[in-house]
Amino acid sequence: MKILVVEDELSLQKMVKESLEREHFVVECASDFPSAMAKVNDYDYDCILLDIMLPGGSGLSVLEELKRMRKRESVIIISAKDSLEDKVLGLDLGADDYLAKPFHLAELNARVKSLLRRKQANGDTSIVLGNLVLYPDKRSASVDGKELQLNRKEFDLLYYFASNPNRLMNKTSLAESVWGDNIDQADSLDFIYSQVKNLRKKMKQAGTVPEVKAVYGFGYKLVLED
Amino acid sequence: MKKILAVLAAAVMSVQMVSADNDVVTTDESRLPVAARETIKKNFPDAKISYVKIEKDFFQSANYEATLTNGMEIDFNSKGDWIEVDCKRQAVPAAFIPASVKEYVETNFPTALIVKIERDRKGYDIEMNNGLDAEFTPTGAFLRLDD
Amino acid sequence: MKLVHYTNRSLFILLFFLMGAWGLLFYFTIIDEVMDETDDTLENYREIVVGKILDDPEILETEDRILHSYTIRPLDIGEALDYEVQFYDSEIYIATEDEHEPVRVMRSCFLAPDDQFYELTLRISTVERDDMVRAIFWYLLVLYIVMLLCVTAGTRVVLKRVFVPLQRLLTWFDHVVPGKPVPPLDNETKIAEFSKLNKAAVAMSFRSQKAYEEQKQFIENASHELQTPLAIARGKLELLAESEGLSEKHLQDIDELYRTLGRAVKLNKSLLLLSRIDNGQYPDSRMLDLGAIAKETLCNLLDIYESRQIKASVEERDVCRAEMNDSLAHVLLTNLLKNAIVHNNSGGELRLVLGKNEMKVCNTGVSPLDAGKIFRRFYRADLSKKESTGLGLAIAKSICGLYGIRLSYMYEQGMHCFVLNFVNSQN
Repeated sequence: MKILVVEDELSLQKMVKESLEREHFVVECASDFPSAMAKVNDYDYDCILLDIMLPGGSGLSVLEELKRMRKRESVIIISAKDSLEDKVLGLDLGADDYLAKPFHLAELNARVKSLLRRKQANGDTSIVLGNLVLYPDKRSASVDGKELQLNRKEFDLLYYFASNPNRLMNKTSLAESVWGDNIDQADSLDFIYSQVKNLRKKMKQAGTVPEVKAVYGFGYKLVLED
Repeated sequence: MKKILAVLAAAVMSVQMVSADNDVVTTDESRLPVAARETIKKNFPDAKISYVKIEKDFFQSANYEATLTNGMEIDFNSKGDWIEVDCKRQAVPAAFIPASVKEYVETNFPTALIVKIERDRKGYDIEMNNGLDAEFTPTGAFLRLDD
Repeated sequence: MKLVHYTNRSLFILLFFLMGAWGLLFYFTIIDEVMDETDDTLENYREIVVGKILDDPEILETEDRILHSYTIRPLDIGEALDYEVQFYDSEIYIATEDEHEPVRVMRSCFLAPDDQFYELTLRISTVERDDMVRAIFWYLLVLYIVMLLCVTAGTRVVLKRVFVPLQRLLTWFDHVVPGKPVPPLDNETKIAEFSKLNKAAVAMSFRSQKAYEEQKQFIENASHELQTPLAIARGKLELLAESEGLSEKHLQDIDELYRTLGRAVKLNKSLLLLSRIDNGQYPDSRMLDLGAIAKETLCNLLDIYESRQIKASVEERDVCRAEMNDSLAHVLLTNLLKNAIVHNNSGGELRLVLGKNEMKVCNTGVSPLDAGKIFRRFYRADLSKKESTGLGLAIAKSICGLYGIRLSYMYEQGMHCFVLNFVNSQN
């Protein structure tokens, strides 16, 4: 899997690259408009992360170029400008998703993987982790072919874990990804503990191979036993 | 408000004072200046003063008008110098008439009597019993004749 | 008080007294002159009468019996010596008319040729004089009133005309709103001061408009510029947490950092949101069922804040709908509901009342809040709640301002109540 990261901020570029490489993607980078255009013209990628504000031109022009060349790359726009017009314009020009800065890396992983699944598997977007299978479209999961009964938030949690297997996830990022903007830094994140506790209980009862492990003081990790 | 009323009152009072110029009429001849009394005694030894009118205007010195019981009238300024003698158709005593005036009347109107004489800074003005007026300079030189 | 009325009133008071004073002064002077004239006439008569008597003493025995214009009376010497001339007003009885007539009297004394002092009393009718005085009085009074009215009315008309440009300028000021383009000022005037004022007002408005725009732009740009460094810092922390051989202490520290950074991100997002709302960058609005959104949000929030054990109740009286931007509606309701949960007592009550054109969010609270301050940016009623940004209610207020929704606070029955009223936003 080849991913192109178009981002002028070098530390951000490096960080995203590192994170994606841990997910075993092949990552290439471009930090300005001409080099982005050159790479898009010369190579094929599975997914492109595209910043809109680039030195030498707009990311939206790269998008137009892709459309003109009839390339079928998945594109996620990454913008500091969290404005509706940019979002609508980007999606109209053929982008598949839109992520506003600052984002959680786990969130980025989930979005990238979701896009790639949809693109590759021609309709079958399920995630398979050992004996656990998730069907994001149907919002359901099964263990050894038997349905795992989960409520909405529990499924969201599991989906998020499944998008980032073997990665350590901070509880704040988890809470924000699942509960969205309703979450404030305000109070304790105790509710995460109870929600995860419930999920773990259900997974244990169903006998799933992957296991959610708590990392004291920081967050959780979905561990796939080898 | 009070201030305005006070200013108003002061203004009205000052007007009243300016116009408070009523003449004094008295029979008390001692209110005449001494020189005036002496002039009368000397020139009209037989006459008595009927009344004296003292004219006093706000910005001027007093004028005295003495009327004798025989109807004659002699006016004086504040110092007691005579300024007008009106003898009502009788001859003005010669002491009041300068020599050159007397000479002019005797030369030109031998039969006429001087019945009235006035004097001021501009000169003399006489009236004769023939109805003519004559004017003279302060030194007594003839100026003109009027009807 | 309006400038025109104030100036007019001042002028009226000034003229009232000034013209009144002049009028009185004039009146008394004239009256005095008229009185004096009568006395002068009496003095002239006296001179004539005394002159006649000195000429012809027989007159001493006569008296005017028709008009009673004079009487003569002998005086003894004692009376004569300190005799003072007198003027006074009196009345005489006219038998033929059977009525009293006002007269002015002069008494004086003289020495007759028979060496006897006599007193001469002269009288002159003052009927005409009194009529004239009355006439003068009334003419002056009418003149005074008419002049006062004319001058007052005249100045009023003139002042109104003079202040027309000022009035137009003030009306124009009402239309100058920060954040909106400066409207054109059509206020032609020949008056140099007003012309200068016009120019200054327009220039000032443009300047403040520009400053306002720049400030807004600055906040937005600053917030945008912060996004990238924040993203980098947070991402780096996530990667760092996955490093080998970190102790629990390290992980806790990283978590602490992560949360702190999270607060900065929230704050920045809130500022950006505020600046966008103020800039009107949320144009597309549609009819939304706010009740449904509120209930869903409340569910989510109760999930998150389950530890607070809030007892929530929803009272649906009617369908609550309003036309607004979808994401702003979410932000507005989330902020109000979250406020009601976070600033609630543990185990307290939360009541959501939905009505037509109205929504009420109440929560248990100890004492009333300062209604003037709670909607200010960065105001915190409870300083111990460090995690709150202090922007929640300010954002809610801004959103309401954008759509003409009335957001008010009241304290009733031991509860803080925030009421949204949509009546004005429906047009």
